[in-house]
Amino acid sequence: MVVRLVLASLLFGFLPVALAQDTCASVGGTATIAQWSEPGNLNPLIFPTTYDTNVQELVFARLIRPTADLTFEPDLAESWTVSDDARTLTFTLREGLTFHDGAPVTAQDVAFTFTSMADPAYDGGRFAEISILVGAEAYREGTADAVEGIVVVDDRTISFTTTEPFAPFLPVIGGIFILPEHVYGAVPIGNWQEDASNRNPVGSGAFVFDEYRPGEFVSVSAFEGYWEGRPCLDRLIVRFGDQNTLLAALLAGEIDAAPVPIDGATSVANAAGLDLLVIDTLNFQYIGTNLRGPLLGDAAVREAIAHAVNRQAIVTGLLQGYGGLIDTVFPTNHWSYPPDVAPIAYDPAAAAEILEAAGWTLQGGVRVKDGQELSLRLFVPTGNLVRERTAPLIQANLRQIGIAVEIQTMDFPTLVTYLLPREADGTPRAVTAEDFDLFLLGFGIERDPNEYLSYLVETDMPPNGYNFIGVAEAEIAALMREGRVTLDQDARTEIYREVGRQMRDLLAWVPLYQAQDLYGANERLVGFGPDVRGINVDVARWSLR
Amino acid sequence: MLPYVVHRLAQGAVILLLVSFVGFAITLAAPGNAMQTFIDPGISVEDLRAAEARLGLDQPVPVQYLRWLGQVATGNLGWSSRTGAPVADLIGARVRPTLTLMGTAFVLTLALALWLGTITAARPYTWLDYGVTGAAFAGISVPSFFSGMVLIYVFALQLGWFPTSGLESYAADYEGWARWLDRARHLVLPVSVLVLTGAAELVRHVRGAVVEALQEDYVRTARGKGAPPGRVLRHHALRNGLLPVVTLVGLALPRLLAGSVVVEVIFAWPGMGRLLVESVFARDVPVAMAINLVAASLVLLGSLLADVAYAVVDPRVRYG
Repeated sequence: MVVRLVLASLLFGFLPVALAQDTCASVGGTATIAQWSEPGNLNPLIFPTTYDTNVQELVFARLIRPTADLTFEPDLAESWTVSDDARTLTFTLREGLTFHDGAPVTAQDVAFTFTSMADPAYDGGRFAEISILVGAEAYREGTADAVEGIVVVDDRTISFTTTEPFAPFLPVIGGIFILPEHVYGAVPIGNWQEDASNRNPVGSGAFVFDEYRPGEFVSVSAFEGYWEGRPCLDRLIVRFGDQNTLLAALLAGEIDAAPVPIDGATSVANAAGLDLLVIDTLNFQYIGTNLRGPLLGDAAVREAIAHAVNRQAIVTGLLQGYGGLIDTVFPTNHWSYPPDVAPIAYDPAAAAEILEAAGWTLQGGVRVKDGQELSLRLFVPTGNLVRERTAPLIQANLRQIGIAVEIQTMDFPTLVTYLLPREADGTPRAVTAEDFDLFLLGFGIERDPNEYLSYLVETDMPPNGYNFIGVAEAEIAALMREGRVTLDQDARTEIYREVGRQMRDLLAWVPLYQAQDLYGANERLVGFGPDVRGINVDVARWSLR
Repeated sequence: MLPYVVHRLAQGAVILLLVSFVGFAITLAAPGNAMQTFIDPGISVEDLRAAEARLGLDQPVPVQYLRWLGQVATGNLGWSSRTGAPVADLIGARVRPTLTLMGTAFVLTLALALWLGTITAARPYTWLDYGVTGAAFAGISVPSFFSGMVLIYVFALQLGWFPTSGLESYAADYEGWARWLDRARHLVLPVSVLVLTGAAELVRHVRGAVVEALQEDYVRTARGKGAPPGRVLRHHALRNGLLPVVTLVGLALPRLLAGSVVVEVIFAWPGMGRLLVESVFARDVPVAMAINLVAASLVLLGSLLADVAYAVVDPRVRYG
């Protein structure tokens, strides 16, 4: 992948960059878009959520940025090279880049951004992403004055060296927005979250930050000095609020584009002047299982669950067709998804037979084995209406084959206390068979399948990581670790596909469905076209009719 | 009167301390903490724990409480765990929108309830009385999220008379009078929802109080002296009938600042109620606690004002 990207970057490097105005249907005006939740932090190095990133993307730029086909293209960097040992990536910045306040964007700003993430006082949660850099740990522990693996070659050239060849490093770099050192470096890193700069970001992206009114909106305006040329719009407003409120505002023409809840799809599709956009994402939903203990530790029980749940009914009924089935733990539209994975058939009769053969016999409607009832709790986090509605369906499906399910609905932070349990005194501890049985949750690839590592390797079971379910397969762990260091994309694809096949057989996550995202857009907003990358795709070229 | 007020204020300080303790205990009894809402594949558990330690979330509850109390005692409400913003700023930004919405609704509710309550009391058991009573029961029974959605559907989406939500037309950049007019237009629907439910409750109390007062001897005396019916109603019956209503109004004061969660959510109004609910879901303890404290102070102040107002309305009431 790296080699291929370098070639791509060379091509891009020589292409003339079209000025935005040349491709604007019109110039000027204020467009309003919306999202369902308010951003928390506008400093991109502090625990970014999707809602934060959606706003930060407008204000900040990265060295490289993702493309629709999940590779990377130049952003602030015009090109990059990879050393022969595949451990050093060297980026060359474009000429004449400036931040919104007019200061030049230099390699020193890039070095500052990445070094900050390893600072001993930094606690924005993103150190792990760059801990692979040579000397990052030493700098974090205070035993080095600088991160050895970050080298400013000259004003426009910077290189990063990793301790070993690290395949997902390009995706990591593609996810880090460059901060101006003269702004953020003036604030002690430990105070970043409290500092006013966390609510008044300064970057080098397409739009200059204007105003953030809590509970209402963020407003940004066109950056005249943007490297791709001035954006077509004068101003862009991002409103936040309740799903149905924003739907009404969209229907009334008060906002130009917004995500649409599934229940609102028909009204948007039928409204004059509005388009309904249906977008594939890299997110899917699954039933998580606690592999510890005699019930879900039994592979037959997990297999029976997988065959007993009528997933097609969920897609057809609850998703109204906006989505599809998924048969393993990677999104179906990602290169890691094994096309040959065995489909999980809906077959309650077969599911009952599997349980019968494994010794689970029906006694008064519920199956029993060795005196133990096949009775499970299903933890359902709130916040995703369709997912909440799947719970009673799953419960009814499983009752049919003699599995009793008790639904417990809770908000996400409460669910976390079961998945990442603690002692009474607050010390994180290991998960036991009693902590939870089944839970519903979503997962998705943000940039690279390496993100699954902490969820699937034995050494990352809580309290050391996110492997709540307790996957202890040595082969899966070996594959996940191999995937990190394998640079050849074809070999890497095959590694993750093999993980996908093995997770399909293990069914530690019972895959449910992959929903599509729905957006409504007013026809007066030209160029609005969200995709797997999110809502702001090509935002510099949006214009108003 | 003054010593009484001072005494009540001193009592209030003790009550506030108790409220803060109970509030803190309840808030922290909710499972999970602010950092756990950030769980993400890109963030390692070590990094999460480092952030917890910085916010003091790894400390025992009594320690967290004393730290918080010490901070508040110095006049610092702290910083939001979720965004790092100063809590005083977050609350301060919500005061004006909340007061605008709730204050407008309060005044209109009071005016409407007094007017309808008095005229129905003057003509009991007529078609007017039955009509208002029926409407009041409907107003009480219909939840505000429903009436809110109906109003949006009819007056914003179908008729297009009013905007659906928000404080103003953000993209329009109105200035001067045009801006005030635009803001007023945005107020109409949310205020209507609040007035519909609020007046429905209050009008029954006013009617009952005035009907009772109209049967008193002093009203008969006033009539016997030949006072005109309007004066008897307003001056003699309404003024005396207002006593129980004053209590209700005093207790309504905290609501002016606490806001209305449902209406604020439906109309995307940047009010205090929404901030409280969002902070509870985000386990943002400093924000939730500060709003608790502000609301508790207002409850105390409201009941104090109601008691003082008694003395003003009813000369027989003396404190000393």
